[in-house]
Amino acid sequence: MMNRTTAWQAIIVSVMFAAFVVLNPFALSAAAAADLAVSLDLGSTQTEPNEQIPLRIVVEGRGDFSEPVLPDVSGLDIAYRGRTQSVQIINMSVKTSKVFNYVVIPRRAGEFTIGPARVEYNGGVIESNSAKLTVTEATNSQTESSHKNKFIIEATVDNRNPYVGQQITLLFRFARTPDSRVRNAGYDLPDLPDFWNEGIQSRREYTKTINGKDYQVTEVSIPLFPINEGDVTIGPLQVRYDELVASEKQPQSPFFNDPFARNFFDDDFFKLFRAEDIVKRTAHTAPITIHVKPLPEAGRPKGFKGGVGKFSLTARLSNEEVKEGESATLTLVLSGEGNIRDVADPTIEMDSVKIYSDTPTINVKNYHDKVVGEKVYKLALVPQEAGKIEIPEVEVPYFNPESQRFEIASANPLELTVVPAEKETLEFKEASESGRGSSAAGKNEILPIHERIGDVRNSPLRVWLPRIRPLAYPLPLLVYALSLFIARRKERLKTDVAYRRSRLAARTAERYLDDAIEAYNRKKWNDVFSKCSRAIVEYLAGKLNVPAGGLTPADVKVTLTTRGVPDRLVSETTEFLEACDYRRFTSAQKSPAVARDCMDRTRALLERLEKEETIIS
Amino acid sequence: MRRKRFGAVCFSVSAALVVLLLCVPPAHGETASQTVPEQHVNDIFDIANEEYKSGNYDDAVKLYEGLLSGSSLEDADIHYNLGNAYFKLGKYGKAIASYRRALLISPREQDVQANLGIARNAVKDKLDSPRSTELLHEIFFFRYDLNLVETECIFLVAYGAAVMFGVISLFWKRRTIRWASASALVIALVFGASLVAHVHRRAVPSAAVVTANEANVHTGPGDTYLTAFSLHDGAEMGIRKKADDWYQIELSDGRRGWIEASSIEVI
Repeated sequence: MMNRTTAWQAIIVSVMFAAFVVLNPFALSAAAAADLAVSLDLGSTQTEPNEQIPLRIVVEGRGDFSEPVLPDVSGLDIAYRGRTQSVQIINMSVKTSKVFNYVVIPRRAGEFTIGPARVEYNGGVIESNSAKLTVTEATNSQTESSHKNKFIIEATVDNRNPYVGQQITLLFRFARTPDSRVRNAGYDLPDLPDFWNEGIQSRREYTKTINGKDYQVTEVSIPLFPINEGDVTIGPLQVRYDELVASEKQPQSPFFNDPFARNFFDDDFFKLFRAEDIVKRTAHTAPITIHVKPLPEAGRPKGFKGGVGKFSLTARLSNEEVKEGESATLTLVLSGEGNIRDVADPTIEMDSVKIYSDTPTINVKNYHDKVVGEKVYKLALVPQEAGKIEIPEVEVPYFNPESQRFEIASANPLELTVVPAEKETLEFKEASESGRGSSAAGKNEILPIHERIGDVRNSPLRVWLPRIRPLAYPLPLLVYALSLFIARRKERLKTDVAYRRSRLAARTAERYLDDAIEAYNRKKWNDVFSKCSRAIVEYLAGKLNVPAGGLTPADVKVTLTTRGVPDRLVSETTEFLEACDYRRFTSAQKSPAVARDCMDRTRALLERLEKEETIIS
Repeated sequence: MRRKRFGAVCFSVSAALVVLLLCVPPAHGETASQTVPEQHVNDIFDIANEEYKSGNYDDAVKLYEGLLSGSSLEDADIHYNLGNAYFKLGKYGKAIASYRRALLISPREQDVQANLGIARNAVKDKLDSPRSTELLHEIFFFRYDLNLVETECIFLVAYGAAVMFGVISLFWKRRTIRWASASALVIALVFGASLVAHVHRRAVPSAAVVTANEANVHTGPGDTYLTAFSLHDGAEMGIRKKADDWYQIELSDGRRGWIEASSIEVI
């Protein structure tokens, strides 16, 4: 029983405690505080009036929290300079932090307490630590950084009382002594919501003596155009640079005595190469306040849109003479010094001329710290009537801050001659069956549609061309190639005796063989042998281009052997010739069979000789 | 000797030209798919014309475009009527593209030239055209005043005549024959070059017209590049090259830039 009571009491106490923890806002706040940490870090605890001290508020932790709120401190200007965020992963846990940057500028001497900064988180408020700042009376009125002997950083403007739209030049100078060693210098422009910046700054380097000391000066000039009236401020311009400082003694790492925490580069090997340290520095210029005057209302011309500077306008025509309905291009070039983008666009109106304008092209550049530019307008003029057209003077108003009055940039009038357009054919053709016919075109009325599909579709050209194309291209070439071959052969036969004899040798031999057959039919056996012998001799004489008259079997043997004819064929030929001579001039048997055999051998021998390429001369 | 060289030159030049012409793709759209039966072409054309006359330009456009895409025929009259329908709809870019296609088929068609001039006057962008273009048109009139088929026919006739006179000159040595052959060969060369230009122009279109109401011309092939200038419906341009969905274009006044493919119609 006791045990059951104790158990119930424990449950009730646990539930009540849980409800207390969940519902109690203080408990929430405490839990939130455990998640979020806010710290305030002042760059220096001692300074002089108008010096700039960087202030950082670091909020570590995750979740949605408000931006830090700093209490106002009389005598101190605290300007917000943006924020950065960092994420670190340590021992597998993610640690995020946001750094809110400020600049503290003391306006008078005294003791000041900055903070605590307050951050709202999960319905609670988390406070940071406070920081004390001692401001002593200034000993030097010049704006200098903490390294006042080595570095001078300043920003000025060339005109603290400009008109709205009038260019001013923000000059930023970074001077350092020749012995100072600076690397990776850069600057950050402040937000300039009251100015238009073309982004075409120029940069110069020169040497200058200041207070008896030589300085190397980097000067950056930034043209700005004020866009709002009244007092406007150019915020502090931040300079970042790395200074190389000779390491007179090795810095003592807080972990130096801890062998486990030693930096890798603290090793003795690396110390051999480390004779100087890199010190990252930042500095700020003083904010600059200028008074921007409004443009005067008196004398403000109609159509003025805010152009301030000195401008001129020129006009030219692409053609001085055009046909009616055709276009000529009028090019207007506005050029000069100032905020050329804000100058009103020129307007031009003409009766009986249609005008089409194009988007103007603008080019600006920095010329000796002044923004100069050119704005080119192209207008297409389409005259609707023939005659002389006077293009009127084109005017563009602007405000000249030098003369402090409104002025007009104007382009001289031009003249355009419009000749009548060539008349369209006014012949109204008789309406053909297809309904086609040309008629005059009205100015903006198109000619009517065609009622029938034209003859082009069924024209013989379209029908026949695809059919003849496969032959039409190669055939003439083939014909020409064949003709050229025949003509050349004919020409050679006419001029080259050896060639002609060679080509005709077989034909000559055939003729003698025909004679032999005729002699055979007439049973004149001697003639048969004579003609067969003659056929072979004439053939060889033609092929070898030698006279046939004195070609004896011995000559044939020598000549053929010289030509490289196989010995067997040579001996066969000479034997045949000798056999023919033998049968002709002796009383050997001369029967029809022998004569027939002689003719057959002649034909066979001719065929073999014809195949022998070495015979050809 | 001179005669032989002349014959060899004629043969070589003719062979080179013929080989070149045989290498180019077919000059006509014989390969186009044909979904509209041949016998219905005139009927559909008549219906489209009726729609046009009734003021139903949208329907007329659909029918004309259906005829062009659904049949293998390339007819200047369909392009011309399509251009008229687009003009009536206020789509000057499309109208100009159609008229220019009609002129490619019938370059001397006066109705098309007149309506093209009217459409060009109606567009917003007026661009200077270089004077040299007109001079080129005068000199090389055969390139601009003759269509592809006419050019090919003249080429084939001149080519055949050159070969015929060349063959005759091989066997019948007369100076007049050789001159006739040389003259025909020159004509064949000129028209052969024009034919190659025609075919190349078909294979690689080099002109376009803006069909969007307004199109930005950028300094590079992408929206992330700066806008150099803007063009409006109907502005004509030459095409230099293509990169993805962007064309590099050049205007007649020399300005160059990149324009999105969807804003223009290539002719």
